[in-house]
Amino acid sequence: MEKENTRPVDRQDAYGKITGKARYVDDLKYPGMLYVHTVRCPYPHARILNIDGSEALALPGVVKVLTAKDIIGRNHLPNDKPVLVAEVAKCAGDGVAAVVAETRALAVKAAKLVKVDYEELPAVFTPEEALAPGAQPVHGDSNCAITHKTVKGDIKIGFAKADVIIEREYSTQRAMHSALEPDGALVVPEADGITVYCPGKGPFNVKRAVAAACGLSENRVRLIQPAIGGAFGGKDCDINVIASRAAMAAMITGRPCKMTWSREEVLIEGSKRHPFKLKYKIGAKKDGRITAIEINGLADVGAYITKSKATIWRATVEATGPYNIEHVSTTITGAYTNNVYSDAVRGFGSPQVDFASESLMNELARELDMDPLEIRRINAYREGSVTATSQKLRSVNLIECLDKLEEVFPYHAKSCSTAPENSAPAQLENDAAVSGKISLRPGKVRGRGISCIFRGEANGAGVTTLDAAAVNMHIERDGSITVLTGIAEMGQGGSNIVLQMVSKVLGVSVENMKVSPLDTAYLPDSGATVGSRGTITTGNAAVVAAEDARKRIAEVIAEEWGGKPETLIFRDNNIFTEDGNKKISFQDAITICYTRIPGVFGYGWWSLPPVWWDFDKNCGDTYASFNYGACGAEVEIDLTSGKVDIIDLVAIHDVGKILNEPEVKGQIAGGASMALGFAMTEEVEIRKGQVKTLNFDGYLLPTTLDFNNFRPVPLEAKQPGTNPLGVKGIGESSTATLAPAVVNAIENALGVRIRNLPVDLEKVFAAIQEGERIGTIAGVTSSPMNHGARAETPDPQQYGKGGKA
Amino acid sequence: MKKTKIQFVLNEKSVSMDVDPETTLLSLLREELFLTGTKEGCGSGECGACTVLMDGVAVNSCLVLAPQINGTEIITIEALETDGKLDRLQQSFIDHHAVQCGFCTPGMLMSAKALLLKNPRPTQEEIRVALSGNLCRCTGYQNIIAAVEGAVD
Repeated sequence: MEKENTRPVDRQDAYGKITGKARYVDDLKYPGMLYVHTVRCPYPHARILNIDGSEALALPGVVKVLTAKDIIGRNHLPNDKPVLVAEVAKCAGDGVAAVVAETRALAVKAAKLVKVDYEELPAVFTPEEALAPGAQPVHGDSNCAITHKTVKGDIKIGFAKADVIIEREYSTQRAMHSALEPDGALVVPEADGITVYCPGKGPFNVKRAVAAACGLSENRVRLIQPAIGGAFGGKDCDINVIASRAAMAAMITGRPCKMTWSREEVLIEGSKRHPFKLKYKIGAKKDGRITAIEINGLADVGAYITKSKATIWRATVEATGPYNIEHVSTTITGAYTNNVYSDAVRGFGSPQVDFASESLMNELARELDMDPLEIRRINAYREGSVTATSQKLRSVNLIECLDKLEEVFPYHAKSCSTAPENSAPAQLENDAAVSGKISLRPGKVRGRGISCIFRGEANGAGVTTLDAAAVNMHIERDGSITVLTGIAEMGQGGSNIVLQMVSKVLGVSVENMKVSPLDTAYLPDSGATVGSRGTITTGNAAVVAAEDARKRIAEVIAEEWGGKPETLIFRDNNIFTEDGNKKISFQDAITICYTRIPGVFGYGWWSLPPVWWDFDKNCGDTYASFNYGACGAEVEIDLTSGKVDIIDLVAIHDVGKILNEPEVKGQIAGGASMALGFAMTEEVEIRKGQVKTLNFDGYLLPTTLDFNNFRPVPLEAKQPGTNPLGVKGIGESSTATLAPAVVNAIENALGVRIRNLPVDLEKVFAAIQEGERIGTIAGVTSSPMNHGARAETPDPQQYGKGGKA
Repeated sequence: MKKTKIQFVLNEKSVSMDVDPETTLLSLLREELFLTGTKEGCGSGECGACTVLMDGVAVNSCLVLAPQINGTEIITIEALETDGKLDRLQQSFIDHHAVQCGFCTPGMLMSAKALLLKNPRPTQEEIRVALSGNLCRCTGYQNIIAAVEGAVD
């Protein structure tokens, strides 16, 4: 692929979105449409004794009160979230009934009138409690939902070789997707089934779930996606449930039915990111070489299994971080609790383990009195390295990422950045005048931190179906092209990548193409838009499909002109002979094609090479390829308030091949800003199973004032041999590097390590006080005259000489 | 509930209607006037997806009750493009790749519009402050900030 492919191509979906013309699910209305609202269990574990909907039904305009008894098909898979609870609610917020009414307000009002009698049951709220002997089981007879392991070598031997061994514990919080568009679905009953309008990353999965719930064969459920207001790993199991509730209402009432959740409902019933607790033990030689690592983790699965097995599997595979370690033992267990259920969130288990392993690397560096970048270089995966799962790695670009980081981020510069806010960080000089001392405003300290990761591409062996996608296209009679792809456009720009690839092969302008709305009635099932697999799978499928169309067209034109079809050149909306002597417009060529061949189209499937996992031996080729990343953060901390400002933030990501530079940078920036929230502010508070964070006033997303001074750096290095385009995914790795880099920077500034996310104001303030107590900072509170100068340099070269947390 | 009669100017057209006094401006726009370009992200004034202009000032329409708009001028995202011509801000959002999922976009554009009406040459800091009530989960904001800067003379 030549350079021209990296040109910024404007997004075709942008026009509808900037004019308000794009229609999202809640913008859709049908004549006679009813609204459905959920009645939820207020207790974390309770048996339903009776549901009385009579008072609700007495309100004029209330059409139905539905319960699990009304479910026509399958309510749920074993241990999975039910459409409506039949007998025992497993978490507070579980749906137990659904009210169907003429207006949304009426449905909400009537839901409060549904009387449900419960018998409260004992409940468990932490994985530790859940796994303790005699604990109340959430499902079956054990709360152990899943345990995944990797074993390599013998950690006893590895630790015996170590000069230094440290043990640390880290935790990450319950976070949320926070797509700005709340979840919802509209279902229209048809003569021979139903049509579902809903957003979602896995339209075919939703179709199957709704079909099962409604007792319909899969070909009687048609799912059409409206515009999607973000997903970030969500809009999946939650949408299965919402669409199924709306579908049963539609089938029973015979009228179109819509359910859209309020933000509060998303917080109360919607899935969340798995909270993890991770214990690491690591041994290393004095020169920094790691000899062994032992990792034990515990994840809160919540009340239902959903995709926890795959999430925890990925976390287990990636838990060591991107390092050559001969002796590894990793065990991560997911436990059921009576908390709201955990499911996929952008990053899918990676951000949790990357926070822990990359914090640990800095702690090890400190213990060894080494430079954090140097210890990473010493242990970094290189071409041919073997992972903890015994997989030999190819197209390893970690050193390239670290080199780039050192080039663009002044990690070793002695003076901290003095660039004014909002300006691009200037090249820093090692100014002798400041010689490691920070010239800062009073009461502020600064620090720098780094991190690096590896991350498996696409579904991997944790998913058993072949990782495949299809693209097809109809070349219309006027030469315009309708492109069909099963990858959901959730905002990531996947549709445009498909258009770019078709444009490249057929030489037709993107403006002459249109992506058809995602409609399961016509589209080949290309799997879910997950695992950062969209560009890898459909980008390559688009090339196959466009080449199929080109061959078809070229054969007709070559016959017309005499000559070989494969020598024709498709460019600039024209077709040329190799010598340029003959030329026909693409449109005229298509006119000829329609007189000669039955249909002018292109069709193409593409799949990643198969991967495998041996669950008995805990090893395998986990992912077809891996991508690599590195992050550098410089923070400024206000010693009075604990507020942390981002002074400089660089995220470098190995993307294989850049297809659209501004768009890939946009993906990195979005992932990084989500990671900043994960690092610093976002947490769904839950007490005794009750969600206490009910809207964005308590769940704090980064704003324009928080996410600042960011530089995304997509890196082209060795391309994976496993796909012809040579691309790697970016959607999720961008969420994984920032948290440890920022927390390492905070530690660098304060000399105090924070091991539990999010690093909110309270934790930073406590760290400041600790830093003052142990003497790593001279803070404003203890010594106002000092104006809060860091007691010693944050220069990473000097790292390890400050106080220890 | 007794209806209240209100009169206001909506996207340069005079409107007179009877409203439930508890109806929000957001609900009025979306449910009764079929202007669904204005989005509901939180319903509590935290996300800014429902931002519209009320007498030239950006407001969260989910926090404004319908009777409050009596006698005012309301402008929504639907009026930003005029006679098939995009507003400069809209074109700049395309040019700067400031749009991903698009759900925050109408609100972002209206907040930016309000800023430029009041302050045609804002600094980046002023832009960041003006948009700080509009949440975006997709972009990390930098392309949005660049797009607003790009629409400034």
